[in-house]
Amino acid sequence: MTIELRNITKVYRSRRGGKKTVLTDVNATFERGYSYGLLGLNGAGKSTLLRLICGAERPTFGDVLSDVSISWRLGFTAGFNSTLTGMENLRFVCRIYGADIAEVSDFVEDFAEIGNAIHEPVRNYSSGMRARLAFGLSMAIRFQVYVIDESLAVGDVTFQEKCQMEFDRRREESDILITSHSPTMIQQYCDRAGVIEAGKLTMFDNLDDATDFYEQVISAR
Amino acid sequence: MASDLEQRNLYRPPFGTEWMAELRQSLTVMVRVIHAIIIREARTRYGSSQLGYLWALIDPVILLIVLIAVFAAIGRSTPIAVPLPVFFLSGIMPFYYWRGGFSRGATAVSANLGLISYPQVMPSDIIIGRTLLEGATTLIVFFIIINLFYLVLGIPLAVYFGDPVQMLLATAGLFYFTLGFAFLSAGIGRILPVWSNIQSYISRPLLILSGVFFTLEQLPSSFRQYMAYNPVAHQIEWMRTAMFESFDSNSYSVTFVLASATIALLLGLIIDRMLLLTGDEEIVS
Repeated sequence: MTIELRNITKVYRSRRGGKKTVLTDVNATFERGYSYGLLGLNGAGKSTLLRLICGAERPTFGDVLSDVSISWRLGFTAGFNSTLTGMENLRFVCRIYGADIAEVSDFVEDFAEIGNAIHEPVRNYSSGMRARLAFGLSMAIRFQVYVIDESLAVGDVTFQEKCQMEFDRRREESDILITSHSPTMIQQYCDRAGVIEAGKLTMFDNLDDATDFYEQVISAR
Repeated sequence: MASDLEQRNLYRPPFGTEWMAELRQSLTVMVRVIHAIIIREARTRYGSSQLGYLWALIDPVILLIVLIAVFAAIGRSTPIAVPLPVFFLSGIMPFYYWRGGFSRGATAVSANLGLISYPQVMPSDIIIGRTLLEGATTLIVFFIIINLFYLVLGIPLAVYFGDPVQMLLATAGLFYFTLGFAFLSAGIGRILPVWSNIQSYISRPLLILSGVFFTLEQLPSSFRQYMAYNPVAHQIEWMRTAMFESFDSNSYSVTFVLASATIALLLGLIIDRMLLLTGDEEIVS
């Protein structure tokens, strides 16, 4: 087993008293050694499922079981404290993941290309710099599963190429879990895929079946 | 796949080998996270300026000076056999710690929403981290002030340490008391966002009502019976009895302090658990 979803239901409650069921009774197993794509239209529940998998929030009913280390969503920067410097934020993340601070900071300083700005408060960063710091950090701490919401694109073209190279190297030992509304991206990275439609997840063992089903979903709209 | 799911059993018998291993694992993570949070909070507690931390010292010193000036102006003397500044300090420090935990607890979760999205960071880690940091700050401020008293006023340090064993117990009690109310405050803050504005209207009058500048012992009994509902006053009286050899109050109850702390802690934990189980937590992006 890598990651197992058991009877997951997620209900959001709004302050005005309305309830919205985003995922209904989702069951799935994501096995180690395969990369998975999750296809779905906007609002189908892709991002919610991803947040549940990487532990950012908890399901209303059901369990998420896993025995691997799972990254935060790539490019996710809300975990940074803006009054602390990039380096202080880096140290914090190292401490909670039990990673070696010297090793990680060497890697990130080299990779993120933000120079001395790493000793400046994060609030002075551009959004591109934040994303580069977050991306470098998630590459430096070696996760077994990398989670990507929609896009891998960080920074300008040259930096994107660098990310791509680092990411391809990392994929030799790590699996990825990616959401998208376009099958092309899934075909580029994944071995298997699932389709989320109206809170239901259907898993397929090969990409073509998933793509066919997804196209049916789109045309049924 | 269905049969595969059934094979894996979630249940671990308590105190079994697997259960103990899981417990040890989660305790290790918890210690790691709390350590990281204390360092992070120490840097952000008073904003980004280095000078900001001085405020933790200046704030109680100003209150001390005001209280001493007022008592001198109206010609009142200390109600117990220790110098007036010492008497005030023995009330201000426990009160400031308790109030610090109470008010810092109110915003513990809302100010750290980004942190909660790291799966290993739990709201309770933030509350424990903040309460520990607040305690360490209070202790350091206490030691600085008693040394200032020694240098400026010539008050010997021995005055404060009447019964060291009792003092340790009273300090441990104060930590538990503060932690309990920090959990309660954090819990209310999470289901009632205006709480962070309201809580100071509760803690501010308690500065006057908790015996910072009087003792429960000296109050007439008709008055004391109402004051006795305030656990903070009991905690301060307990601390003073432990600190000063010459002061021995019969008007406080350790049981009451610990019981109210336990109730506050349980209420806070119940709210936390309810939010966790229903998944109705705060969400970032």
